[in-house]
Amino acid sequence: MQRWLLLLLLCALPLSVQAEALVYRGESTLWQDTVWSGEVLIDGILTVAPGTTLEIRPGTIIRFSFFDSNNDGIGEHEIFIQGVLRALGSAEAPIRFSSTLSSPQPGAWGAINLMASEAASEISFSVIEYAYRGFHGHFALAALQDTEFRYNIRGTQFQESEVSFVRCRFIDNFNGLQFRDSQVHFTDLLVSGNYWGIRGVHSRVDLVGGRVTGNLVNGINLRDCDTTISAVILDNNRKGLYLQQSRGEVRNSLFSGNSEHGIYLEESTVTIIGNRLLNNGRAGVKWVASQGTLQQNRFEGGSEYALVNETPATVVAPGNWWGSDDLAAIELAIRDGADRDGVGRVDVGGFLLSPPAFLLVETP
Amino acid sequence: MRARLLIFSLLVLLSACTAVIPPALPPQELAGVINSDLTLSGEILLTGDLLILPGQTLRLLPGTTVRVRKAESTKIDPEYLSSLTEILVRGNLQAEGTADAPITFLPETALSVGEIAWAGITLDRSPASALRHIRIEGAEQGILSISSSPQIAENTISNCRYGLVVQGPGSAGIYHNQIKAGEGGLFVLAGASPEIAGNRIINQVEEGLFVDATSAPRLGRNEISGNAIGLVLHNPKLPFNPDGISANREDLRLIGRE
Repeated sequence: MQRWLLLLLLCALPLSVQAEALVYRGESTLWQDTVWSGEVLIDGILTVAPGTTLEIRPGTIIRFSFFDSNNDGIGEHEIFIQGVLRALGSAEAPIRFSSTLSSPQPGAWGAINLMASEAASEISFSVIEYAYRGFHGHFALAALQDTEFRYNIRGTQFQESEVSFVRCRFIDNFNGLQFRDSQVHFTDLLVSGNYWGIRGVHSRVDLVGGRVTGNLVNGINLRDCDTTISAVILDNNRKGLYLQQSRGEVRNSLFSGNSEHGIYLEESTVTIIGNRLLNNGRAGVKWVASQGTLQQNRFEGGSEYALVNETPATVVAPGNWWGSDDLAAIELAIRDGADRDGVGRVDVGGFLLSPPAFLLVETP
Repeated sequence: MRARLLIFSLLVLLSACTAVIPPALPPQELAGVINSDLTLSGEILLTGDLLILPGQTLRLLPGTTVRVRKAESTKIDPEYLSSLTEILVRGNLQAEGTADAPITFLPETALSVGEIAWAGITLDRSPASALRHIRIEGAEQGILSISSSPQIAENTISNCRYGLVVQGPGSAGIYHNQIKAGEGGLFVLAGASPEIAGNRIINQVEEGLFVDATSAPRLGRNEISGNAIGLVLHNPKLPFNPDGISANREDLRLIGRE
C-alpha cells in the first residue's frame, strides 16, 4: 500500500519525464531539476530557481495562455530561468514554444527569460513563436542552434549577455534581434521578413555566413559596436548594413537589391574588402564622417551611385572594380566633393580594370 | 450707493477682462498605449512614444497642436521602431485639419538647422488613417506608411530627413502635399503602389521622388523642383508624367535593372 502511495506521489510531482500534459498555474517555481516532455501548459509565470535545471525533451510542446493585465495587447505569461535551461530538440522532433490561442498574434505570451544564469543554457532544434520576446536575457550565457523564431514582437532581446547562434532563423517577427552590451556570435544565420533585422548597441558582434534579407528597415544596424562580418548575404532590405560609431571589418559579403544603401557608415572606422555590391537603390556604400579601407570590392552598378562620400576628407579607395574601366564613367558613379561643396573627394587611383573574383558559398 | 455701483462696475469690468483673456491651460500630456477610441484637441505635449492599438482610433480635431518632446537621450532599447519619440499607428489616426485650422506636429523646442527631434508618424498596417491639412516638422520620417492604406492629402512636411515613405502593400493615396527642405522627399519602397498626384516636392538635398525596383506607384503630375535629383526610377518602364519635373540639378535618373 505504501509503495502505491509513493508511486502516486511521484507521478504527481513534475520531477521526471511526464507522459501527459503538465499544467503550471499562477506563480510557481521549480526548485528541483525537472524534465519536460509531451505537452506543457504555462497558465501563469513559472520560475526555474537558481541551481535548478529544466530539461526539455525533443517533441515537447509548451503553450502559454494569454493574460493581459494592463490591456496593452501583450501577454504576460512566461518563464523565468534563473538556473539552467536545456531545451534540446532534434531535427525530427523539434521543441515548440507557442500560444494556447487558436489564432494568436505576436505578443500572445511573454518570453523565455534567462536571468543571471549560472551556466550556459542551450536551446536547439526549437520553434519559438507568438511571444513578446522569444528569448530574453540579462547577464545570460546561452548557446542556440537550429532554432526558429517567428511571429514574435521581438525574436530575441538581451543585454549584458554572451550568446551564440548557429543556424538560427528569425522570420517574420516585428523586430528580429535586439541586444546591447553583449558578445554575440552568429554562424549561418537567417534573418528574413522582419521590420528591423538585427539591432545591436555597445556589443562585440561577429557574423560568419548566413543571410539577412527582406527586412523593412535595416538588415543589420550596429551602434558603438566592434564587429567582423564575413561571407554574409544582405539583400532586399531597406538598408543592408548600417554601422554607427562602430569599428570592424566587412569582408567577402554580398550586398544586393537593398532599396537604399548596401552599406551605410556613420562615424565609423571600418575595413571593407572583397565584397560584391549591386542593385542597391541609392548607393552601394554611403560613407559619412568615417574612415577606413575600401578595396578589392566589386561595384557592379544598378545604383544611383556606387559610392557617396559625405566626409570632409578624401576617401582613398584603391583597387576596386567600379563597373567600368573608363575613369569618366567611374567618376559618374561616385558622388563626392566634385558634386557637392563641403565634402571630400574619392581617390580611385589604381582602380581595377576587371572585376575581382568573388566567392561566396550560399548556405541553404 | 455710489460704493455699491463702483463695486458692481469693477466686477463687470473684471468679468469682461477674464472673458477676453482666458487663463492659459497647460497642454495635455500624452504617451503610452491607446487602447480605446479617443478624440483630442487643443494643445498636446507628446512626452514619449505613442502606440495606437489595432481597432482603435485617435481623432485629432482641427487646430490641434502636438508638440513632441525629444527623447532625453538616445534610447538603446527602443520599444517600437525608433530610438526617437515616435507615434506608431496600428489602428487608425484621423488627423483632419482644415486650410484655416491645420493640425500641427512639431518639436517642443526650436531646432538648429538640420536637427531631427522625433521619429515621425508611422502607420503600420493601418487600414483607414486619414491625414489632411497637417503640418509636420523636424522628424526623421515625417510620415512612414508600412502596408497601410491611408489618405494623405494637403499636408505640409518640412525639415524632415525623409518627408514621406511608403513601404509594402496597401492602397495609399498621396495628393496635393507639399514636401520641402529635407534630405529626401517621397520614397516608395518594398513593393508599394500608392497613387501620387498633385504634390509639390521641393528643395531636397538629395532625391525628390524615389521609387525602388520593387514598387509600382501610379504617378500623376507632380511638381518636383529644386532637388539634387528630381525623380529616380529603378524600373525605367514605369509610366510617369514628366510635366512639372524641372529645375532640379538632375531632373530624371532612370536606373535599368535586368
